[in-house]
Amino acid sequence: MKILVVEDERITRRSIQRHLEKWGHEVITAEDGMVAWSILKEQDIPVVITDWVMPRMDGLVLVRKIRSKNNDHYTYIILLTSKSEKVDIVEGMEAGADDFLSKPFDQNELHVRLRAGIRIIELEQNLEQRNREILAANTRMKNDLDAAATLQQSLLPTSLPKIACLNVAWAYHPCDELAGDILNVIPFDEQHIGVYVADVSGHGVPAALLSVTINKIMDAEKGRTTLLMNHDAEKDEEKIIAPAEVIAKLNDQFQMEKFNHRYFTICYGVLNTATLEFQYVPAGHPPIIKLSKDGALEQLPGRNVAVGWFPGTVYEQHVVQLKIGDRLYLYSDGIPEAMNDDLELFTDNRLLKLLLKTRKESLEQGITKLIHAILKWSPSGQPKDDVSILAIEITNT
Amino acid sequence: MNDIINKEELLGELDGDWEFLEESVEMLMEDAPNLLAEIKNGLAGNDTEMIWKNAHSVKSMVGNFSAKRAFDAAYHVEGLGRKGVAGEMDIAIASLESEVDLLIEALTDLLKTKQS
Repeated sequence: MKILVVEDERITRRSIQRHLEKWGHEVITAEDGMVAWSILKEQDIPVVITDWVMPRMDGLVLVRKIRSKNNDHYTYIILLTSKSEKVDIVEGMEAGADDFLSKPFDQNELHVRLRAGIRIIELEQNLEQRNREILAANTRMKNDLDAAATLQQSLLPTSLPKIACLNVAWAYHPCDELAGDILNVIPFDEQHIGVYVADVSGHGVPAALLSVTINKIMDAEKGRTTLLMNHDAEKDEEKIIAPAEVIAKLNDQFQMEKFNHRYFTICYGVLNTATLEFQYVPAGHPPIIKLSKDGALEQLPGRNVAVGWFPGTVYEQHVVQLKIGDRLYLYSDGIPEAMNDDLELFTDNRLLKLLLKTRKESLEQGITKLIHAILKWSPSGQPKDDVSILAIEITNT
Repeated sequence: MNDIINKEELLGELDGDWEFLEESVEMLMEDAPNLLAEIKNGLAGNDTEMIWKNAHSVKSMVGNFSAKRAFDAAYHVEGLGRKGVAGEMDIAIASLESEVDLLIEALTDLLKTKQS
């Protein structure tokens, strides 16, 4: 190990050097604290053995300088003292020395004290190596999570469907890299559009994997039977499956004991743009908010249990007749349950007030303001739960 | 000789390295007069700090030779210097000088025993 010996008296300096070299150490010497400090500014030396009383810069000042230096590695310092300085040992240790050695020193004592120091340095180096490995592993995981987050966000609707008589807007703010929330807009045909917001219990990778799976199976592809749409090959016709049936199938497929006790809440609905009839099923999810053009607010009825709790659950489907100017908001509980520094909830009340306040603004502007309000409400602008909202508005053009 | 230096202790510490002993004695003979001269300068100039710091170095130096008498003499001068006591300083310094001379003599004799 590399050791710096700082001693103005050259016989003692040479004597320590001789012992250390005999024990296999690489020794650098300095005749006072000033020379030692200039060496330490250039090199990382793990062990310093320094005299106290020296010209120009004494050992105590050197120890303080070493401790105030922002070193990458720990420096173990042994302070050499003589009988007359023993009363000052506390001062030396308080300045940052790790150990002391009385002069004239006994080589066995020097050896033992040095071994103790080297053990500490080696432990520190091992710890540092472990920390480097943990940091590298964390960086790899962070990169993986970032890549997964990018992938997950790519599943969100990128270009909203251009449907006559309909505006669609959404916002999505994960609380971690990956989210348990997912939402989507599914244009079935010229007359029907499906929308959903789902919220998987828990956070992190397991919740995100389930939310991605939900996104992949909540799909409608022409010419193919999916969870959402039946394809009659003989007639070459598609039939949209009723929301209650879709949620029941999801419930059968995603029983929580098979998914590490994870379940999810969802609100799924299908809008007929011709009749303006909206059929929907909430499953353990916050109620849909309906905001009419005249400012009438309504939390639509229906609750049902979350998906995954009980096999064979029959989900109750609801229908609401919409009119031009009506807005519907589907959202996750991350909005009403967002907590501020005093653990106060954002609440449905604040949500409803804010939606009403932004009624005259565009759907998108209203949602943006809502998200800003949630972030402002949350400590350090970071909600503890995923925040997602999807809104549709019936227009007359 | 054991009165001036503890030969067994010294040779044990040296692990029988006579070459290093010779090197150390040469350094002692070179450095001790300078340090003692500085101590005397301190006495002449009533500079107690100069006295105790140089006495401290002499103490470190002679401590390498298991030389208790010289070590104690240096320790005494250093102590007086630290306390700023000037009264008995000249006697203490003279005693130290004498002990260092005796030490050098004893070490020279010791080296001769090896060479013979």
